[in-house]
Amino acid sequence: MKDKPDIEKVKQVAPEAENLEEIGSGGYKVVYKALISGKIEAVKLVQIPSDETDETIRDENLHRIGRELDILSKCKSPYLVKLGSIAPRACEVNSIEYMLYSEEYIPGDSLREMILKDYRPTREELAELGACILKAVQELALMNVIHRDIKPDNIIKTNDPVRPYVLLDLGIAFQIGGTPITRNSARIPGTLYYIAPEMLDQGFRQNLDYRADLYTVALTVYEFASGDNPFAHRGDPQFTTLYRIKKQRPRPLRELRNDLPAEMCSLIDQLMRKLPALRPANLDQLIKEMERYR
Amino acid sequence: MKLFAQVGHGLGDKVTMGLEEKFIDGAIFSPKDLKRDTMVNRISEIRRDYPDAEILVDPQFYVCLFANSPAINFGNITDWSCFRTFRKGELERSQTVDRVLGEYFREVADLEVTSVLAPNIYISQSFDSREAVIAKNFVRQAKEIYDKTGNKRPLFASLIICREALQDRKEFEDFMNDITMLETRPDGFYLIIASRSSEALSDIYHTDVVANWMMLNLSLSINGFEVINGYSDLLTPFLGAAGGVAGATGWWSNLRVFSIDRFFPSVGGRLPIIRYLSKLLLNRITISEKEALSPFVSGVLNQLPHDEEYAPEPERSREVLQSWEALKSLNEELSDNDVARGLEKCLQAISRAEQAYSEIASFGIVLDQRSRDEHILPLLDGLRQFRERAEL
Repeated sequence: MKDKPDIEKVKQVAPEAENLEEIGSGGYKVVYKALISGKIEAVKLVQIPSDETDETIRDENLHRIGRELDILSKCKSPYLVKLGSIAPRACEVNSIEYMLYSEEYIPGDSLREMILKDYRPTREELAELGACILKAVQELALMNVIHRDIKPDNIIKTNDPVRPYVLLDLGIAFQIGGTPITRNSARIPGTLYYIAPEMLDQGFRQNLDYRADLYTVALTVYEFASGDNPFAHRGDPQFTTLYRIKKQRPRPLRELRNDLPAEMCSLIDQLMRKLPALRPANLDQLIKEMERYR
Repeated sequence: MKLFAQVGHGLGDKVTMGLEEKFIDGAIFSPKDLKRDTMVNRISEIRRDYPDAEILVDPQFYVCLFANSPAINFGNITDWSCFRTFRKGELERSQTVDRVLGEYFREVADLEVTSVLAPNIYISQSFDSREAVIAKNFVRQAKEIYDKTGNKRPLFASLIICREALQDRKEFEDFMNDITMLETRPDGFYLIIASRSSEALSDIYHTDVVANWMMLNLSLSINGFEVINGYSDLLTPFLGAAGGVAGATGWWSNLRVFSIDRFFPSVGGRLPIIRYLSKLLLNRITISEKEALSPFVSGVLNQLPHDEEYAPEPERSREVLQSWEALKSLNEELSDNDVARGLEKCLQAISRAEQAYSEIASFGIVLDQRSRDEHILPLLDGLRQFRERAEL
């Protein structure tokens, strides 16, 4: 994050958070682990993009963050992160406006961290991951919400059998920050590479539906299974990746993981089709299919 | 892939013969061509004698917007008390759509059909049109209104689309994205792709039309809908490879290719000559062509039982049995549970047809215009385009 706020100043705007420790940052946000009323939580500081010449942009972004957090507060799914004890509030650090709030702290590794360690998940783990995240997408879809930022960085593998995988963030980063294009991450440069092909169409917002999330769930499972994002390779120019997302068919998952059931691989491949109409959209059915392989 | 008789004028005992010989799995009746009472009786008889047969009625509501055409011939559709004509503006109102659906569902409930085909209008130009909006409304409302009638038989929403509309890929894909995401889902879809004229085979045997018709079958089937293709004739096995569950064809050219022309007076003329459907050529040829080709081009004859009736010429009423027999056999040969494998079989069948036509040309045999190979290239390109777009 550019102009990352000094942690001492963050402590001033979040006095209820003790033992503040940075655990991650993205294009427009910093995440801290902190003790709040004796409980560990994740404190988030999200920059509110604004434009001096147009105040409505700031208001719109604030409204959007508020709406997303409101949705999150209504979610019951154990596979979606829950809000914490700090209710969302606006604050200012070094004359930059932020939204501050907390979420529950989910102990565990992100799928990105596991991919970087060359972790090779089993069929059962992949099926569990697929089923959990599809259930999260289902709950959001029932509320007419599309996450739009499902990716290995945003999913934590826990040791809790009730919620083995938890989806973070609810797409806030994507929505408020647009599309961060260049960031210093390990293998994949950023959110842009987890974008459904239809989101590259002009006027996509008019037609977008939860099938965009089905695509990114499948892409995440594919990458976790194979260790490879089929569209984004380190060092590639951005337009090459975008072209691949829009035009190139990924290698069938089965070619990379021939130990997995053929039908399971086909389902993942099918959910990554470019055209939303070619992705099976019946979530009950999809979840059932995934659970078959657990 | 099931095969249904597309029923029209001149029913006779063709359907019962087709069912008896197990060439067809059922029939799609048309209100225009049979008096309502006759249709009710014929359906009852078939259900009694062939309890496994699937019987459907195409509501043919799609002619409702043509009332102001002076030459329109509604035939016996007006026997149906629910049928009336409309202006587009009237059908833009959801209440009118709901009323049309409700009245039709109540009337068809008395018939012994095995599944119900919902009414819809004809998309005559483009998917970006008032007609397309109305048609989508019919699709979206169908299941909800149907459920209120308490009828438990499967419901198929109808889509009647002019081939012109299939040529704008972006609009077509947007439409497909819309209809695969329905809140209240019918059990399946009844698809008709309309040509400008039932004689204009090149309208249907066109790369974009073939590819998009297959894309519709694939996307709907992936999303759990059963797809019945009306008037699909020789395209039936290809649509089956793309995921369709049934196709239909009949005994006249206007039962093999759909055109709204069917509701206007024909120009007359003599009866069409009897033809033989060659599985190898994926086409119908005249009897004299069949005789001329069979000694030189192996495989032109299907080697199926009804071939015998073509020595020298079958009764006109039996021509359709040979067609159904050949199509059923093609369906069986080309069907596969896996779309990519099924498509490969279809491509191989087209390649074989292409080779056979080359062989015919090498012998200097000149074929009648309708018997020629003009369908081959559009089929081949259509299937290749489908393979690419479906990411197979």
